[in-house]
Amino acid sequence: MAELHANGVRLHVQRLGPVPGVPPSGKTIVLLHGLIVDDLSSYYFTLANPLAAAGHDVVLYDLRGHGHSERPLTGYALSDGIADLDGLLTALDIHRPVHLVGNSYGGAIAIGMAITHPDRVADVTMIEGHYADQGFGEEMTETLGLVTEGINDEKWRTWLAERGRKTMKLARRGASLIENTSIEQDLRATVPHPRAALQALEIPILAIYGGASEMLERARTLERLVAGTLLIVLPDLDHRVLFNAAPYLCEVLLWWYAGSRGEAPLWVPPEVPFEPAPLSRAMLASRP
Amino acid sequence: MTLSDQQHRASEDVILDYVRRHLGAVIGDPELLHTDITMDTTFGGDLELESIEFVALAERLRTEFGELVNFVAFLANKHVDDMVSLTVGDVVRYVASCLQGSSQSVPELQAHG
Repeated sequence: MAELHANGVRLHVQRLGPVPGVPPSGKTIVLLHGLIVDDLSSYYFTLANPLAAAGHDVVLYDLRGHGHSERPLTGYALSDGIADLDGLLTALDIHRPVHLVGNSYGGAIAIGMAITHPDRVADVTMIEGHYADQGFGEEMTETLGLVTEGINDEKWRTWLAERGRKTMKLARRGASLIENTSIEQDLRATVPHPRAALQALEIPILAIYGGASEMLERARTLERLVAGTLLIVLPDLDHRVLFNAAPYLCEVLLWWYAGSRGEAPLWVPPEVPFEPAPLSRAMLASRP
Repeated sequence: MTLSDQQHRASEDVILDYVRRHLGAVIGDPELLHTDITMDTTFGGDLELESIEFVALAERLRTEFGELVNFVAFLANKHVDDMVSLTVGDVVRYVASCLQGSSQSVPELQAHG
């Protein structure tokens, strides 16, 4: 399967599994990626295939405006992202509660979905996930501003060009999404969830964040607000947890989906130094 | 080389042609369309294929060759860093191994192509 229409938009969807010879787990896991320079491939090359190989039904898709999905001029509010996900589940005929995994901005969709469609969500895993708390709109706008500024900066353009066709294409597509759609104003206008709505969440939340990430404070707030939150902090990692800790994330997710609770698998950091993501906040903040 | 080896080699050559054709459609880049794509060509280093383009290629190959070619098993044990050095030959050999022993032979597929 490659394309589906949901909520009036054409979405590029991949559904992996079941795998011959592996008993199905009965769980559907939906993977939600981050903003601008992200798409479903971040999961395809990290978590999606190992989760499918373990017997899970894995759904991953490009958010509107991203990857190979349609890029409408408008409709980039968080509520649109939630409506797209709801429409996608309906289009896929998935009616039982699903397990959501949100990386970065994908976390905001996952938490938003859990608040607005509680019957649709079994649990949420946040990988460096945002959520629409106070200041979310401003933070998103600031990130988009950094990306635009970085792409338009001569020094950064040279740096990108040196990294070849792949990075340049990613940057151009990202810049075009910001410049040619309503994404910036839509995200700026996000109305935060009332704290009471977050506190009322009854689902388990697995939250995995980097110890050196600027998101960590958000994660600690989430842990305080939502009773069923298990927070795992990976020392020294920044926002790029998905790429720098993929094998560990697979291990933890398989442990989590097996119904295990309590002491999570131990994180052993690799010896090679971590690299910041191309066009990430961390990289843009440390201009060459 | 035994007859079986020769048949196998022929199958890989045919699959390589399919991969070349689908790569051309996925990349759509006139510069790369003139690149000589061999079994040793790397997706990351030589072709600078975007990750999302590899997903599209895998999807096309699955549609072309059917459910027997399931990339879950192929990719489940690979890390994101492995993708940089992945070669066209790795994919061709994987597709060939999926089709081997099935009733669906590659020369038959060629007739549909």
